[in-house]
Amino acid sequence: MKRRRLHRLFGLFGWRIGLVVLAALGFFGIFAEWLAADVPVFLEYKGESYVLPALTQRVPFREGARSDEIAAALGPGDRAVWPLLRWGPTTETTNRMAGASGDHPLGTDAFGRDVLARILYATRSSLALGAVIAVTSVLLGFVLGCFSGALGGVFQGLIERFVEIVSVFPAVIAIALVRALEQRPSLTSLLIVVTAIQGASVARLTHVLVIRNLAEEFAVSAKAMGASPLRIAFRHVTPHLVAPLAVAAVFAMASAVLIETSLTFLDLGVPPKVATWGEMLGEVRWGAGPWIIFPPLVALTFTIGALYAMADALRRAFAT
Amino acid sequence: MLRHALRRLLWIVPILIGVTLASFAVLSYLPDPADDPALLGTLTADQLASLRRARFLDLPRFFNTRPLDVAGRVEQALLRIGSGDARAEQAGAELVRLGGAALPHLLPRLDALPPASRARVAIALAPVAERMGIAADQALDPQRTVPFWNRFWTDRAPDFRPANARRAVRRFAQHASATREKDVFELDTYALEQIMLHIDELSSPSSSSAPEWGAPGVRLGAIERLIGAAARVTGREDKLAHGATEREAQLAVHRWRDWWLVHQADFKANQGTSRFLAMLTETQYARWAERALLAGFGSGTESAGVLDRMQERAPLTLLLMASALMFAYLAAIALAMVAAIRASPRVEWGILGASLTALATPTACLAVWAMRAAGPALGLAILVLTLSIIAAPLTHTRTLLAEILRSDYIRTALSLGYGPARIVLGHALRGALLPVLALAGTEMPLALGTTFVVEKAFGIAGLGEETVRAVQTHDVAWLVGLAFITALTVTVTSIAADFAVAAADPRLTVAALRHRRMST
Repeated sequence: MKRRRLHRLFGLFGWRIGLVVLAALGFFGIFAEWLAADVPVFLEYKGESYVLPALTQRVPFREGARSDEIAAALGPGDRAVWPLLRWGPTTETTNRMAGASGDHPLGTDAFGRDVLARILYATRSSLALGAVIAVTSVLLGFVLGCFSGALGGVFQGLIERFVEIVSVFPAVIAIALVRALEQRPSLTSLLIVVTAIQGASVARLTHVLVIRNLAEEFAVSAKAMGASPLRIAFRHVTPHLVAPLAVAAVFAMASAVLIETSLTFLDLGVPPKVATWGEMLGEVRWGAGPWIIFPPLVALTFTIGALYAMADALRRAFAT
Repeated sequence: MLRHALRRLLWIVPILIGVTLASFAVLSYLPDPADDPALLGTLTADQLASLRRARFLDLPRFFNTRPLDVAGRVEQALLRIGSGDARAEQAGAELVRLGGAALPHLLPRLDALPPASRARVAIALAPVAERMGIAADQALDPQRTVPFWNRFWTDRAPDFRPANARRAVRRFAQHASATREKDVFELDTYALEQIMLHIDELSSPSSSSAPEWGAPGVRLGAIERLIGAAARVTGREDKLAHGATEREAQLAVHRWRDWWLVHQADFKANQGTSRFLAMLTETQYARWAERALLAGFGSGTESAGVLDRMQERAPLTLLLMASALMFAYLAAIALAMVAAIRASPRVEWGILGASLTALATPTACLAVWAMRAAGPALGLAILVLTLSIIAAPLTHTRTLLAEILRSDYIRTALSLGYGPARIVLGHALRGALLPVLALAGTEMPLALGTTFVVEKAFGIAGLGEETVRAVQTHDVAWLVGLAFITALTVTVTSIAADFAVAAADPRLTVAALRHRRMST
């Protein structure tokens, strides 16, 4: 039964195309250092060899050295394997707001940073943030929803209140409040607030699903055999929640990416210096041309489109 | 139904308390000035103490087992003055600060004190006598000061009663004369509570139109006099210059009110039930909530109060958000209806594609691009906002309509020979309309974030701009105020939406409403 559904899922066009797009973007994000960095992927310098110095932070040059400086410093015996693009995401040059060229395939921004390099690193941070928020919020919502649905009574009241209180706070204002209280912006606080907000809506969904499933025959017979409410919820009802929660997770990831974009555009999101799509969209503020929004826009639209296509496919495959 | 309605309304109270508790909890993470190494070096201990006091950090969080009123402070000061060391000097200064309000708790006990501390207390009170404008030379003379204060109390004890203070302040506010001024000054800080009450009354909007205050200059003059008196007895510099404008007067009143909120416990005596109430009110949470409710969330870092600033900026944001929400829902309902009437796969796909595109395009991109292409225009901003919130109502209406079109009564209507347009418009729409509108209420928190983005892209001076500024300047008062107001609005809207839905469909009464809380 389950296998047939998975088979059906992979037969759906939306799932396949979504998976391919997301995998491609994920590939760019994961291998960003291999594709674009100031330092070589592999370096042999003065008899010592360095593997991926961008990751290990073990570079035999001064901090923030540019690729041309490093290339010039290499002696005859040294070897370097360079990434495809010899620019890091934060390397500033004097060549500001340049158009596309062989050196900068997508041009540079208002600080002379290479747009292609930035979009690669932004893909990593945006996708990672979205994925982490999706997983944590679905876990949080699942546990809360199961408890409130299965136990009822005081637990339900408490969890209902929590959900209600969280959901009346607009996400922007909650984040703004936390940002104003912090000495310096941190990623953790952003994660916590967005997770709480997304988790509240997942908790609602889980609660309703649990209640609905508890009325089904399998749950009633488990109860007749003496299973405790929590056992029924986590053991017998949970398999029925996998599909809707998977959909919820995909949606949560999509909206987390969008929320992050909006927040960073408002200067409330990730700390400065971290390249994300929202941050790149906001670069128009510093006088860059409107073309600067196209790379992040394309990446965002592809991501969100892929996620929605996958959610739709999941829903269809598991529809009864 | 009515019973449930009342219950639902009553639930607002715990939710709002929860919201205030949540905001308060967030606020308590603001670093204590005493822990901030940057401040420790630059400020004196007194400045630090007053900074902490302004945020009520000298009080316990939720329950005060020993609330300090003026009597308690006098007690403490007397204990310290008895010790005779450096702390005695501080205690003397404290007595001077407490001033006239402390006298009813201090002078009757003067004779019961040991002779050494009796003299010290009496000498410490000399600045108070000076401030009150009575025989300062006697108060300063170590030989005569104790008999002087004893005599003072036998003569004047009847004056130090609330009724007399009220009368003196009222007469002084109505008309300025040397004797009336003297009456108030001789009560010193004992009159402060009444002064603040009268300032409140005079600055309230109802009294600005009251006939007894006639021309506006008379009322402003009274406020100026009362603030002058308060400044004299407390030693604060904050006075109102002669001939100040209405706006300046308001700001000054605002500052004084905030000061009084923080310091009122020093000048009031708790008697009877208020002694027990003080256990709850003399706490960080209660004081903060009082400031939030009475003083409009304090003034933050700006001179104008949070509520005033909100009044200034909210209309633009609300206009933007409300019109965009309205357009988005109208368009979504219309589009979904067209799709239901035409019911062809091509229209279906078109609408699915449109809503997916709207979902996947970040508002920031759209807004920035529109701004670049056509410049700042309010209409364009509304259009962009409409496009970015249309997706949710569109998909929601579509699924709802599809569900309704499968139901039995629609099939009956079809079999009776009605056309698709008549069925959708006349039968199906009624069932779909209200649930969709109920969604609009819950959409508001999300739409607010989108509105901020559009505001920023178009450079509109609404709530969003002020919020971003508040984050940069750490203006927490503004943010808490905004959070509270929006939470209140969202709660009330969602309850109203519940009732609207229940009213339209009587089947959805008690049971349905009870589950709606979690299921929407």
